[in-house]
Parts: sequence; structure tokens; C-alpha cells
Amino acid sequence: MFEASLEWLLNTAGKDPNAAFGGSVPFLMLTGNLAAAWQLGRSILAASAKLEQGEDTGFMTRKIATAVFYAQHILVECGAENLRITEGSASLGDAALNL
Amino acid sequence: MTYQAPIRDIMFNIEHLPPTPEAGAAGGGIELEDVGAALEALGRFCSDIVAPLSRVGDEAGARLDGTEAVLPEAYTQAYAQFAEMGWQSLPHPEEFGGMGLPRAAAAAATEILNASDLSFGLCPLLTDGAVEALLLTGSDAQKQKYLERMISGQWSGTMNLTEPQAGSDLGRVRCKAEPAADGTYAVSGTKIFITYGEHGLTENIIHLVLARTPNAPAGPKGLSLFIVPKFLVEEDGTLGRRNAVTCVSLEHKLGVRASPTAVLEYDGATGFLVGEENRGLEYMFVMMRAARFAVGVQGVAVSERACQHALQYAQERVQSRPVDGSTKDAAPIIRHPDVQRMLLRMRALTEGGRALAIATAGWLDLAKQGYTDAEDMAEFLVPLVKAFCTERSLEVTSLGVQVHGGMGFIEETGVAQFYRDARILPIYEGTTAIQANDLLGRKVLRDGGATARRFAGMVQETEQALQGGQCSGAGRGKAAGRGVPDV
Ligand SMILES: Cc1cc2nc3c(=O)[nH]c(=O)nc-3n(C[C@H](O)[C@H](O)[C@H](O)COP(=O)(O)OP(=O)(O)OC[C@H]3O[C@@H](n4cnc5c(N)ncnc54)[C@H](O)[C@@H]3O)c2cc1C
Repeated sequence: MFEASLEWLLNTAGKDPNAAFGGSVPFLMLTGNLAAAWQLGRSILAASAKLEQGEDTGFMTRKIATAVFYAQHILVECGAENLRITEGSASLGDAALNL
Repeated sequence: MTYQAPIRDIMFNIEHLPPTPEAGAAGGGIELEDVGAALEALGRFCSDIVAPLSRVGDEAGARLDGTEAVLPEAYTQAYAQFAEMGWQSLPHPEEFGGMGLPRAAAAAATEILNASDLSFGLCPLLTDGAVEALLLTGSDAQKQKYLERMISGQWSGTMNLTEPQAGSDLGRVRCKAEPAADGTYAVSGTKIFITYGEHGLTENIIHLVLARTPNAPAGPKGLSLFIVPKFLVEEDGTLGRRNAVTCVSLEHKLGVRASPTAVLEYDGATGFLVGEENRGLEYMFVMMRAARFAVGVQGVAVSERACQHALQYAQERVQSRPVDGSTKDAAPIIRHPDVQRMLLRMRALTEGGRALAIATAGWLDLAKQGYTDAEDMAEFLVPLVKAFCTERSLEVTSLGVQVHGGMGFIEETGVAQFYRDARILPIYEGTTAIQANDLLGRKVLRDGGATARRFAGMVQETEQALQGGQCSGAGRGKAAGRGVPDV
């Protein structure tokens, strides 16, 4: 999803900057979402290793559960942002605002 | 209820999320336990002294008495203790009296302080930014003159960019700086929305001001940066004459009401050029990178505070029988699936934001050590921390109100204030749109997507590790087996 948006933006920005920058906030929110998920993914790896060693199991279990919730409930929003960026640019702009 | 610093989660993040051990606590030659002990002590101070300020400050606000900004008395006392305990010095170099903790630890300290009260936290936050700018761009003499007392918290710092006609577009700044025969400059003009632009918490205020010299080119390339102290500092370090900068009004605001937001009139105030003429915006970006990162951390902070309140309320408030029929009577609302959904969303967004911020702090430290790859990655991540964590803090604090039902809308509960306070975060230090333009224009398009692809590659490595079973038991079962989506 990130890569699809990225390639679309790289291909579009030169010829149609308004279309590309109309997607700039959705792209930031997509990327921020993914970056946070990435770090929570690294947290799962670290917490799993600690669990294996039997260290602070209550905290580690909760940490993993929260990260999995993030992936299933928040990371999925990247799909909608990608659609806004790559399919939504035509309906952005002057026409609908009556300018 | 009072605030409890989430030390366990913070320490987990500091231990595991900076990109390399050198970028975490290890890099500064500092033991993880020492970082933990410092943050715990800060946490106690914040729970006891700072957190109780927030209601008082919200109700009384900062007010103008003549040309002096007056904060509630409790703020003055709390600030004096804050400085006395040396908390301002935490992230700054030992050379100027700082503790020299790595940035991941400093980010955690910023979070704890701002979770306690955003209005209070703003004063140290701006001082940190001004210190950073002077460290990187000030002359040796300027560093000697100002840094030690800013780092000790004795003096505070501000950043003066905004003018009525110049907000997002700093190229429109009009403030003037006329060179004088003695090498100083006379700074004149109006600055608006200056956070802690006037207050009595510290004996001096060091304003960093963007202004234009007489023959400067138009637009952003004609701005220079000046130090304009509220009280001029004599050669022997004592405070001299009051400078010609006056607070003419304070704003009435939706949130962060105890933080004085000043309109400042400069009337030929004595200013000292930082670095070279016409390079002011470039220097200010140094301060802004630190400040933008810190504002993102404020988003995590207010989210954490909202989480703690919501969780406690959901355990106490009894309403409705559970749908699974597990009890005959009404149960605490935390038993209802939708309340759990809200609490988990709040918790996950907060922990996700914290993880992103602390990892980014590690990249910033690597960048400071001179790794150019890390510099590019830090530049890519900072607008994400600023905009993503602050936009999401609006959602988290709004959910916090929702968990409380009607009581959430009543000021007495305190959670409405978090929602109002959070609303400034996606606006100041560059709006979300400005962060997004920066990300797309300067961090993605400019290098043809190279850094963005490198970022995607690192995300993919983590995904592969998760799927390849480098995590055990619960981790693997849940993360890889049960449909963590591919993005
Ligand atoms: C409480 C508070 C504290 C503050 N503290 C300080 C301080 O200490 N020092 C200081 O110098 N300033 C401070 N500010 C000012 C703050 O940084 C500005 O308000 C902010 O940068 C936005 O500028 P503006 O208000 O002029 O809005 P505008 O720039 O007029 O923006 C209006 C809208 O247009 C959008 N917009 C503008 N340009 C673009 C663009 N190129 N692309 C897309 N959208 C765009 C914005 O995103 C926004 O939605 C503070 C403001 C407040 C309210």
C-alpha cells in the first residue's frame, strides 16, 4: 500500500502537482501509521524473546496484544489512505468547491 | 485521579526501539538503570507537583497585568522546583552543565512532563529548542553567555517566527533589524502567538527572533536570526537594562490556557546576530526540527493522560448488563465490547506513537554522530512524529471523552481539557499540511523516493522476521498466524 502510493506520487508529482499534493496529508497519515506499526512489530519481536526467557510475562503479553490490536484495527486504515491518494485525486480541486 | 508515568513501557521502548544500541542509552555510555532511575524521579515530581497544576491553570489561565504576564502562583513554585532539581538540563551537553542523556531518554522526559500539564511543559520545550539552535549555530561567546543559565532553567527561551501576515509562509516576515555602529542590531516589528513570550517564571527570557536586515533579499532567503534578551546581559553575566520588547496582549484560547501566548512589540530592541545574515531560516529549521519532534511527543503525552483517565473510569462506572449474560446485574462499562474497543484504540495509538517517537529519537542521535544515512532517515521520520502523533491525539482524547459519556463533556472530570489542549498540537510548529508538504516535497520527491524505499525495505525486514517465526509463542501465533495484514 505504501509502495503503491509512493510510486503513484513519484509518477504524478511532475505532471500534476495539484493531484499529488492533494494526497500529501493522506500519504503522511499512511506513512505515519505504517511507521508506528513497524516499531510495534519490532516490539513484538523483542517482547517475544523476553517471554521466552520468562521475563516480566504480564507486561510482555500485554505489549504483544496491544501491537496485534494495532495491526488489525489501525494499520488496516492504510488501505483507505492509499485509495484516497491513487483514486481520489480527480474529485479534489476547484470544481467541487465552485471556484 | 493523578497521573502515573508509564515507566515500564517507556523503558521497554528505550531498550529495544532505537535503531542500534549506540543510538539508545548505550551510546551515551549511560546505564539503562540510571536512565530509568532519572525518569522515575521525574515521574514522581510530575505526579506530585505538575499534574495537579493542569486544572488550576485551565481555570485561571495566564493573564496580563500591565505588560507582565501572570500565571497562577502554583506554576511559579512548581517551575522553581523544576529548575532547582535540574530537569531542564537532562538532554543537554555536560560542557554547559547538562546531564547529557540520549535523545530517547530526553523524549521520554518530555512525554512525562507534558502528560502532566501541556501548558507547563511548553516553557521547557521552547527553552530546549532555543538551546539546540544556539548550540549548533551560536558563536562561542554567545554560547558562553547564554547556554549555562538556559540549561539550568534559570532563563527560558522562545521562538519568534509568526507575524500577522506570516504564519505557514515565513517568507512574508517583515520585522526589521537595523545594524548599529557597535555591531548590534535594532529589532523592530510585531510578533504574534509567541509561546511564553512573557512571564515571570524565570528572571530572563532569551528570544530568538527572525527579522530582515535593510538590504536583505525578499522572501525566505532574506531572513536573519537574532538573540534578543528581555534583559540585556552584561559582560560579567549580571542582568542589565530592560530591552525594548513589550508584551501588548495575551490570547484567550481553546486550550493550553495557562501557557501565555503573547503579542510582542519590538521597538528598536537590541539584538545580536546569530551566525551570518540571511541564513536565519536555515538556522531556525534546526530549532524547528527539535521542536517539531517535541510537539509530536506532546501528542503521545496527552494521549497517555487520556488513556489513564478512561481506563480508570471504565473500571468504576457501572452501567448495563453484559451482552454475554455473564452477570445478571449491570457491570462496569469496561465489560462491554465497544468500551474495550475504545480503550484498546486509545492504548494502541498511544503506544504506537510512543514507539515511533522513541525510535526516531534514536535516528536523530545517530544523525548527530554524523551518519548521513541516519540524517536522511531522521528527516523522513520527524514530520511523521509531528503530524501523525498529534492528529491521532485528537482521536485519542476524543475517545477519552466518549468513554466518560456525559461526564466527559463536563469540565469537572478533566478529560474535556485534554481534548481542548490537544487541539493546538496539529497546528503550531507547522500545521499537518505543512508537515505533509515537507514529507512529500523535501523528503520523498527530492531524492526520487530513495529514502522512502529504504524505509519500506526496513519495514519489510521486520514483517519477514515476524512471519518467519523470529518471535515465539503468543507473538508468532497472533502476529503472523492470525492475519496481521500485509501493508
Ligand atoms: C497557541 C499557539 C502558540 C503558538 N506559539 C508560537 C510560537 O511560540 N512562536 C511562533 O513563532 N509561532 C507560534 N504560533 C504560531 C503557529 O506556529 C502558526 O499559527 C501556525 O504555523 C499556522 O500559521 P497561521 O496561523 O498563520 O495559519 P495559516 O498559515 O494562515 O494557515 C491556515 C490554513 O492554511 C493551510 N495552509 C497554509 N499554507 C499551506 C500550504 N502551503 N499548503 C497547504 N496548506 C496550507 C494551513 O495548513 C492551515 O490549515 C503559535 C500559535 C498558537 C495558536
